[in-house]
Amino acid sequence: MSASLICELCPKSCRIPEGEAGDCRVRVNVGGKLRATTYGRPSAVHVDPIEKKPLFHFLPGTGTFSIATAGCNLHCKFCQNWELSQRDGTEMEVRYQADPPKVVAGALQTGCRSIAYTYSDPVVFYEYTFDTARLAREKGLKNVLVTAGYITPGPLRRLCKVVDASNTDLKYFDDGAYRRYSDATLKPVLDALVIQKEEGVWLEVTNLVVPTLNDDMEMIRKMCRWMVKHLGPDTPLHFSRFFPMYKLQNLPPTPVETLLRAREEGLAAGLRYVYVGNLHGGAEENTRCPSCGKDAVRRVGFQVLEMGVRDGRCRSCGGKIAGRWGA
Amino acid sequence: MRPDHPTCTRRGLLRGLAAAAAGLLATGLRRWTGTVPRERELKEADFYGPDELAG
Repeated sequence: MSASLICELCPKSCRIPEGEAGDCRVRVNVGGKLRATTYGRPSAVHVDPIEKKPLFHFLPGTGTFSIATAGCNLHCKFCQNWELSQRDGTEMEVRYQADPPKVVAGALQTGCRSIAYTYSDPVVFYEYTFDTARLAREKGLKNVLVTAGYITPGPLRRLCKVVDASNTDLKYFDDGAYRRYSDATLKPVLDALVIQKEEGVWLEVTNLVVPTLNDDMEMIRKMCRWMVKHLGPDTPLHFSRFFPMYKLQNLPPTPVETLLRAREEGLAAGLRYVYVGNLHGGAEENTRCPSCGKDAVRRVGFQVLEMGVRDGRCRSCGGKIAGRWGA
Repeated sequence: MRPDHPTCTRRGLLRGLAAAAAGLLATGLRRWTGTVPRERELKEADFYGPDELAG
């Protein structure tokens, strides 16, 4: 007799009949057991600068071995990696065979300091991420999540035990927008942010600013105030520029002025480190020392030009700059 | 099959079936010869792919 399963990994709680997949396309009911069809089968493997995730306060200037499988539990209409995230594994032209030891070996061979579970969302390749991260820890590597944070608390807390840093998307500070444009809800994401902070994961937040969807300054102000209150003023926030993609090709790229205004809102709310991304060459990519106001880290794009932080302190004034700079 | 329908003929049906069979055969041959690899061994050269993915 075939039975349905309920996947408890993400808040969608998909009821999955035998032989079928959940909303993420890759978690399948096989003979009454839940299986991730993409385990050990990444479809993207790259060595990236850690700044690309983006993580600006975590091992700057180092390479991170970045892997992703197909599938995602969100369906953002503006997804920048939709060709990977909105497919199942069998639809991908390339699926590598790379079990956790092979991924860890690849990271070590290429001189990376960390492994990033990224591009689509590590939530849907949870077991692969967990097993690889545990092994990576044993070999002295750090682990990085790049995620939308749409995961239930239990599995997230378990995963946090082997994760060092995370860049989590806070896509909109509005539940309706989450439902309309990403097929998700706001509260589980906020909970995931708080949980990661509680579990000691170094956390940075990205907000992709999409014209007309989430560029309302009142919404941005509320989001920044929530961050200060619940995550602390030392949590870096990256406002990222949108480019027309996937189902939202009718919208223009985010005006630079909008991004700069959003950054001002973040700073006014009390956040100490607010960046503007996908906009190469601006001073808004630099880390300013909150004590003396000088640029402690200067960057262009994903490249670190000048590193003025030593042992977590500004070289100019000795003030503390939050982060995991060289652990 | 509707004989009264001008585009629905026995000949058309046979043509369709033949085309489908040829397609399946071609896909099978490509997989068999390795032109369309379903799974690839991860090699170091793969680590430096195109830089087009975000995040």
